[in-house]
Amino acid sequence: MKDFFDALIGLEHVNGALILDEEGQTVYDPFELSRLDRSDSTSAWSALIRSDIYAKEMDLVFETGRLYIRKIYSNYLLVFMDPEGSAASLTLTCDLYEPQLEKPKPGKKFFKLFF
Amino acid sequence: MLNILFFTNDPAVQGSVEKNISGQDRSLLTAPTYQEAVNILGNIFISLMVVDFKLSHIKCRALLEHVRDLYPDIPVVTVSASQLDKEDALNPRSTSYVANPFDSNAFNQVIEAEIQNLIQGGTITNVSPPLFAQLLEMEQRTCILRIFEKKTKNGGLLVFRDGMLVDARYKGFRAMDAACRVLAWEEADVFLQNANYQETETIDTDLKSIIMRSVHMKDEGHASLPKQQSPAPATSQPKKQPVSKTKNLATYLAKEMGGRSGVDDIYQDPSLTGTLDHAQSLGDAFDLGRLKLVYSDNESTGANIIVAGSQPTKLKLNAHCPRDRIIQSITRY
Repeated sequence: MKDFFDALIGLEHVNGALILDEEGQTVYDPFELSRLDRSDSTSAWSALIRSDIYAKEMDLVFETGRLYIRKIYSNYLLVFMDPEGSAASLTLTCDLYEPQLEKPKPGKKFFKLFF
Repeated sequence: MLNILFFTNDPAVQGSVEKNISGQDRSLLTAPTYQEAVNILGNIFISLMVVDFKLSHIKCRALLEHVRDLYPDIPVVTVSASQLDKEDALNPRSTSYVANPFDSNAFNQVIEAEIQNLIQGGTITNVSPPLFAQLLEMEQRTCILRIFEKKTKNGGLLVFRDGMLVDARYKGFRAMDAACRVLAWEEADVFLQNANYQETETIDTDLKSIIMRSVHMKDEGHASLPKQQSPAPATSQPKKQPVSKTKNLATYLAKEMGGRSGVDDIYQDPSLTGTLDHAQSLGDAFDLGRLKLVYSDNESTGANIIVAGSQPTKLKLNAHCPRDRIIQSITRY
């Protein structure tokens, strides 16, 4: 997991990343970014990922930054980027590392790398 | 699996080498005649070659020429007895030399050094060749990839120079034909060598076009490539609202992207307002400002962009849509 996050943070215009579960609870947050501590934001999160438009990956573009969301097994990766960041390199990096992430076992929140 | 071809007819040498070299990730093949060696080279992906100069010097030199011309990535280790042979062997192609009388320990060290050189850039398992190739292109790498498909164990070669795919090899295919076949593989193990060989570039097409061509070949079942399953059709169609403001956006994108926007359809869809509100709440939690758009890619319905506003506008995108470029264009709109 550390290698994966190191690769992500090494990409140009990427500022941080974390992993949340379906309910918005933090699963992995090495940069201590999660601010989904209010009930309204966790409910917005749950509603968004359960909406019709949600797919394998999603890119939310805001005035001051971009939020890339990608489902990895039963959890969700969130990557924070500058508005001019490249989704292509981000997607490629995730495609490359995702097969190496072990599916989390029931009751365990962390992924781990095979190597 | 790295295949090593040994051109020799000496059973003692062959036995000694086979015992020490064959292992989990390498295999030794022997060819006692020139023709057999050429046939093996044409049908099996060879990564390293050993030429025993006890065989006919003419045949040895001819084989070295053959390898130099058709397989410039294959390093050759020569086994020879005399200084004269050594000079002959080292010109033009061979990379190492083991003196006779045959010393199996010294020989194995040379072979091991050559193998380590082939994989000095690292070994990566279970990767998608087209994705990995695009990563190398982005990083502008100069390297040789020896790729082994998981399903069939077939091997192939891709050569990158400053991020450009310049050569490829697969069975009897070379350059573009080989690249399309290797890049059609779904899962493979990759041996990376941070090296290059000084050959004229044989591929002058950009990687994206080659990958597209490999996908077409796969779809059409060329060269025994497995057919890809077509995506499932969409189960429901959204309700479309009359287009008004969307005309301006469509015109802007057509002008901005020179007719290559990759937008198949554009319409207003008020039913998406609630979803965009949730996205905005998420952005507020991280102080990201006003939501401009949402991009989502669904395997069954394809990629979409929803532009935020009082009336959300939905753009249905096709496979040729340049994702980052259209996002940048819309955010400037």
